[in-house]
Amino acid sequence: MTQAQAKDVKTSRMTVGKVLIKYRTIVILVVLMTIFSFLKPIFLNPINLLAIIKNMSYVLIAGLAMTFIITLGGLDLSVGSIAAVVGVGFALLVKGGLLPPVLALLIVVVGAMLLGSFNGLVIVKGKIEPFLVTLATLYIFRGIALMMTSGKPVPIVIPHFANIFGNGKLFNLIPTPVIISLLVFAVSWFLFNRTKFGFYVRSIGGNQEAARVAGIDISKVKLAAYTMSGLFASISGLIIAALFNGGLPDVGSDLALDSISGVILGGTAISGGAGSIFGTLGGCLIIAMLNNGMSLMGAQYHVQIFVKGMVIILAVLMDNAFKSRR
Amino acid sequence: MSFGENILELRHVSKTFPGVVALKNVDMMVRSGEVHALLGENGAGKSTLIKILSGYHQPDSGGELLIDGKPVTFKNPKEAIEASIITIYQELTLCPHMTVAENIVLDKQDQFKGILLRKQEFREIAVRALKDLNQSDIDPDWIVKDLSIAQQQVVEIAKAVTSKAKVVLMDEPTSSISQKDAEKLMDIIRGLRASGVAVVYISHRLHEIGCIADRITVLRDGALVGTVNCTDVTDKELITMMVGREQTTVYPKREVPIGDVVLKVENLASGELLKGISFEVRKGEILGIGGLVGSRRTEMLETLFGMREITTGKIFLNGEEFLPQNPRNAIKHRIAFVTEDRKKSGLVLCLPVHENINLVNAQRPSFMGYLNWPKLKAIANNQRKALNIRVSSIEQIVGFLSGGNQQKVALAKWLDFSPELIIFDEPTRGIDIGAKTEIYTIMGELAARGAAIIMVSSELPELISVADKILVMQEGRMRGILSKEEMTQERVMSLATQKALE
Repeated sequence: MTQAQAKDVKTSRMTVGKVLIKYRTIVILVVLMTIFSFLKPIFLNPINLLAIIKNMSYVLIAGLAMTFIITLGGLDLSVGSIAAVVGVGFALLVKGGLLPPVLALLIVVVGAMLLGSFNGLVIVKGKIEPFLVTLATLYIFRGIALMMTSGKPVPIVIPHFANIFGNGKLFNLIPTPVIISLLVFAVSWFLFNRTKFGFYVRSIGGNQEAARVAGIDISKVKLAAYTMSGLFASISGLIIAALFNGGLPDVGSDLALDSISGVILGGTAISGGAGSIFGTLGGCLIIAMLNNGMSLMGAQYHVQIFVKGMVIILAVLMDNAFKSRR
Repeated sequence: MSFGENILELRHVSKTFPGVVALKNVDMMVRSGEVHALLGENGAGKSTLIKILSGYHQPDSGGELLIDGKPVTFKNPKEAIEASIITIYQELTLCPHMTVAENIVLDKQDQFKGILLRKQEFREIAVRALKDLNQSDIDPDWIVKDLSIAQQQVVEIAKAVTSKAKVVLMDEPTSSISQKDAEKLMDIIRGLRASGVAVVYISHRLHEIGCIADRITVLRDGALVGTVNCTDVTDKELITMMVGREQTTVYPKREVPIGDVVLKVENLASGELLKGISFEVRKGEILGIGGLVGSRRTEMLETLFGMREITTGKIFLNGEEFLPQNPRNAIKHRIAFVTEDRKKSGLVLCLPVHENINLVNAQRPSFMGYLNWPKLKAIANNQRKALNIRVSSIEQIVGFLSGGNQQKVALAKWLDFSPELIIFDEPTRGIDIGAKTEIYTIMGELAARGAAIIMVSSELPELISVADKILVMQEGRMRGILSKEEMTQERVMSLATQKALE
């Protein structure tokens, strides 16, 4: 009988654990906020909080596209390189009034979509693993960015650009990158949950064969997703360029891995099929809070990435515990 | 036949999952040297019972598991294996890229000393095991992924035998092998029995259990209905025990007026795989396709559905020539395909029921690709009611449903666009008799509404009672078409094995 009672206690504790694990993204967020605000009360200062989401913005945007890609069962390692090409390309196109800024903007955004669709085409037509293809284009696109400027940064001197994409503030309060990333977030959520495209992405990632037999054009959906990844990477690239006020060929090297981390922390399965746009928002927030909080505490970059890695392992372990208990 | 001691005993075993009682107070005794069949509809608790015996689940407190009269608890599958209880699952658990011999010795590495692999010893063990099973035609050096399902199963059994198994649990071992291979398997099982091993055998095929089992334990809704000697019961009584109601015919027949030709196939070929296939199927008609495993019936269906290239031959749909290019194109011509392997190509297991049902409907044109989920959910709910899919909510994840309900979901996704031709590949594989009957009823209704139906089935009684005519295939060639009057199990089998007999 005592054994049975012990078992009952164990079962009920497990259910609490289960709830904690199910909402683990929120749990980790709350824990981090509590720790940081306890150690550094300035952490909760609205200005600091706004800084956190501003610094998160371009990772979130890349991460939102990455959520589609990973749910689809794919991967895109090349987004950071695409962002660099966009920044450098824009800087060169507007240098000395060569092209009107709006036209230059259009050209780099379309160019980034072409780079993304190149990834998609090689993956679909060449039937090559997305990891291999985008690993290769990670180098190729970075090479393009470096070749365009011989490796040197190009300043952007046109008015308003930095204001619109980087350091401007709406109502003198909310940083513009935050506004942009929230717009992209809303569009992504809608696409993912309310349109055919999102539904196809989830079905293909869940069971490609079933999707094929159901008549879904798998190649088209994959191509669209990688093109979308290029598009979102270009928005990230423009924000980064605006924050630096110039096109830097070596920026964004952490963008792919940070956005993948955000997606995984948000509970999207790396094996595909199950993804969450809100999860990605939470996951990217975790990374941004970690970076910010530890900086406030005076931790060096070395320590920051160490802790970041530990948090990812912890989150994935929690995922597995959740799965095995179901 | 005399039986040995009670080798394995279950006492008052229950198993509760959150919200579900999967097993209620089940008692069962397994003796050495007997084949003990476990029978019940899907959801009756057979799988749960097997999982308890194999250490995957632990029974609720109060239940006991005894081996040779001594209570045991298995904390994990490894402990069950150490207690000489070996399970052969429906989904085989071999390493596909390793050889037969390596697979057979994989779980016995503790026996070998040192850190070097002793390939010669591995081979010897494998050769001996395969010889004991009378399966010397399997070479221990073959790579497992190149073997047929039936051969892989033999490797699994060889693995169990060399582990000195006292009890072998088999979960629907014949569900994916041909009748000929199934007979071979029966011989192997008889051999195991003769050597004193207890075999616990799950199957939906009653006639199979009739010829192999000594005793039968029937479960219904997680509770024990009873254990009977095989010689004491008829199939009909067993069915009554399983479903809890008298059932006059397992396969209901239907009378439907036969209309115009919907699909006409002339001399169809796909490379070397298929050659010389010609047939037609009319409105309201069910064309059965028989043949052994490896007769490329599935490949023929896939060719009709645009998944394989047509090299020669013509297909006419409602009198017009039609060249299926891909599934999308076939669907546009109102052809539906309920595939053989639900988990592999019929369903997206991680998605909910309503999304699976709408996998095809969602492709209808809409403004900017917007999906009207309330409307789609209503469609799913209608299909759920029409097909009697038993779920607590259409939000339930498909992967957790029983085989019969999964099959209904896989079928439901096609029905909202009123297909003119519905292709079924093994529609009742791995589902219980109650669900089978429902599937036949649904097929009858679809035929009555004017659909033409093509059905591949490996179960001859099913094929013969459901189909209006039967096309028999063998190694990608058509061997004949039997009309309702001509069809008997013997004739289908003789056509299907024609070449082998020549």
